[in-house]
Amino acid sequence: MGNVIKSLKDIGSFMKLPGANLFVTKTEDLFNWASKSSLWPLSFGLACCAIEMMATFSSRFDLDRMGMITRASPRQADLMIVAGTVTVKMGERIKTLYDQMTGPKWVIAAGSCAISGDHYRHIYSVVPGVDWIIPVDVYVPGCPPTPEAFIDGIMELQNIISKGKTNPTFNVSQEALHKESCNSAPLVEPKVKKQKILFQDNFINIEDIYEVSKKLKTEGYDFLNFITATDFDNNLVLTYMFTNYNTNHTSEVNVRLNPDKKISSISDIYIGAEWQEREVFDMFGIKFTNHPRLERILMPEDWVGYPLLKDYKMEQPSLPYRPSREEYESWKTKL
Amino acid sequence: MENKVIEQDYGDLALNMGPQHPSTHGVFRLKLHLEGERIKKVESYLGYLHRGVEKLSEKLDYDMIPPVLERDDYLSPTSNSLGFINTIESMCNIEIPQRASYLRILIAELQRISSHLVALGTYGLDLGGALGGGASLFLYCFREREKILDVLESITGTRFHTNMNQVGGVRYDLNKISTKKTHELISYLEPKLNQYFDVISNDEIFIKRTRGIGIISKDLVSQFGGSGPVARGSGINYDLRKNNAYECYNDFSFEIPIGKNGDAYDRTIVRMKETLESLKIIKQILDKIPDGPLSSRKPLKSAKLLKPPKGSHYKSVESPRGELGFFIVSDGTSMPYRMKIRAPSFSNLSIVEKLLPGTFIADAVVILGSLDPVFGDVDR
Ligand code: SF4
Repeated sequence: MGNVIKSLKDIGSFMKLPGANLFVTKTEDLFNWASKSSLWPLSFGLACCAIEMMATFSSRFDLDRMGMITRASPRQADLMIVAGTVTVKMGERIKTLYDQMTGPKWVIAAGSCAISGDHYRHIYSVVPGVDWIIPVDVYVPGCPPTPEAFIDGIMELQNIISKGKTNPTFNVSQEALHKESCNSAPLVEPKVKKQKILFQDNFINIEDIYEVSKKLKTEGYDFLNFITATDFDNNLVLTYMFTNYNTNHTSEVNVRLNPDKKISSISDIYIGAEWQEREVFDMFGIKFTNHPRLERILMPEDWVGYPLLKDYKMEQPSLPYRPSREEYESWKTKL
Repeated sequence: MENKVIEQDYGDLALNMGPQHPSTHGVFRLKLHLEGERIKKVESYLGYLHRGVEKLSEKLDYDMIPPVLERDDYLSPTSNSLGFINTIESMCNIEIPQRASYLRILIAELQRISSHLVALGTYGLDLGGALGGGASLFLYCFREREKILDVLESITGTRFHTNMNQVGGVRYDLNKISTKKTHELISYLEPKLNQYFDVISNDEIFIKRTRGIGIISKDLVSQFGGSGPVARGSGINYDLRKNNAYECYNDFSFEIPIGKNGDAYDRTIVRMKETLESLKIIKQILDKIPDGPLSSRKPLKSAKLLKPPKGSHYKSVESPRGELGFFIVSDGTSMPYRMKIRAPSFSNLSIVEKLLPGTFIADAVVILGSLDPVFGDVDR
């Protein structure tokens, strides 16, 4: 009670009247005082920073003492802590969640990724800072920010609220918001040096892949480590890796693809191949025939182009949330 | 995209779970087709944390990659850089000093414990009712984890993205204070971990909630390429620390806990027993650690750029989630031509589509939590 009275004294004054006490303040100040002392953040995390955020909420640092309780529903929350890397695919969801929160609401961008995209900022799928999507009130730097930094950021937000002034930063230019999203043609890297095939061992014919993996399976190679591809000059090369649990022996199988990029799927021999093949399709555009659900797995469904091909440019913009390099640079010089 | 969610193709009701749902352990979206309380069909959507690490690494020198990789599987950062560095070292035939190898494993095992503690703590939240409100398990686990992070901070200066490993050795050494702190940590953790193990394995609610739930047979797990505690919970004796000993794991005696039934209970117990084994390894490291240099290369700023010979190479290590491997294609320059990360969570998670149909919706979170996926690792 003592603390409450002390903090109330900051926003108004107590008067002693015969028989009763009177507290005089502005309603605005009182509401600000109330909302800063019971911030309810939306509980969701994106990446590594979220782990540090969880640590801040738990035993040692204990954010409950600042009146913070996480809420699972955006409609009950008034603070969004964006902790982690924001991707284009997640960006839409963050916007939706933010729109679902009732006002007044605040946003903390925690960690270099949420602030600027960190070392991923030029990657095709990453939004270089959450302020391209929603307005941000407080930035907490660090990769990841320590719990102390988190607490500092929250106290900074409380300061801002008690002053009743919010002036959040919002980067996305208004024209960008109205541009058509995503479906722009992929940028092509001007000159890429594609190499000739760099390894020669364990190549088999493209028609044999199904039979070979069936044979490997019967020989005790139960475990499919991975399937991946490499983009060489003239050829895409698929690499399969199998392991025998009992003998610890691994067996590598390589296949040279034809220009039609088609190969038969092995997902009915190794069920795990289903996701692996989807990933290869997503990243390289290789079509697996007889695959039960050949869709994009990591990128949004309407994405154009195959990111891991050598001539796909890393800095592919994707409007409205991922600006082009020029837009990004011009914003940076404005700072 | 969102309007598709309410389409009911199978069952009475289609329910969207995630990508911001707290029980999906990260950004993962499940579309559950329900019939009453039972799940009929599951479609999963991932990629909400796809950060293009594989593309990025094609533009970075080999020595610049480990810090980026540490952000990948963020519950056990060192095992990422360890796997990558092991691959590079065997491509370039670099030997590392014994002391460096011991230090690498010290950090890796400390993080294995902290990773399993997070898995257990968040699992408590998923289960809700167990242990008198799951939040208490969460708070206990995070309390012990903080102690481990303190030790990591005193050794490396950071709490979990340690940047400890570099090609040729390690960056930081143990000193008097951090050795003392590590000793204290062991004597603190041992009774605590044993206590949690006792509580968990005898807790009636916990057993009711996890026994016989999400059974993965031996055959199924290998078909999906499952590894780590998920495979060992199903009785597959496969741990790269023993089966394909890298670094100096052969110097230590420890056991690989194996489960029997392959249910959620077994997977959790395997993880708990593993933390105790890791403690054993850490004790032996502190007893046996030899003196010597920290790195066999010059300091990074004056060292020559690494240029592995042309060709491809695959090597893997055992991360807390399973087999974490790196397939690197080198064209003889200082940057990889192609790098594929074999992520354990990706393969382990792919089991959900088979596992969930037929179970109750309340068990979905139990099963998902017992697989312990980390989405930085799944989506890369
Ligand atoms: S800022 Fe660093 S710790 Fe945080 S999400 Fe990004 S990479 Fe991870």
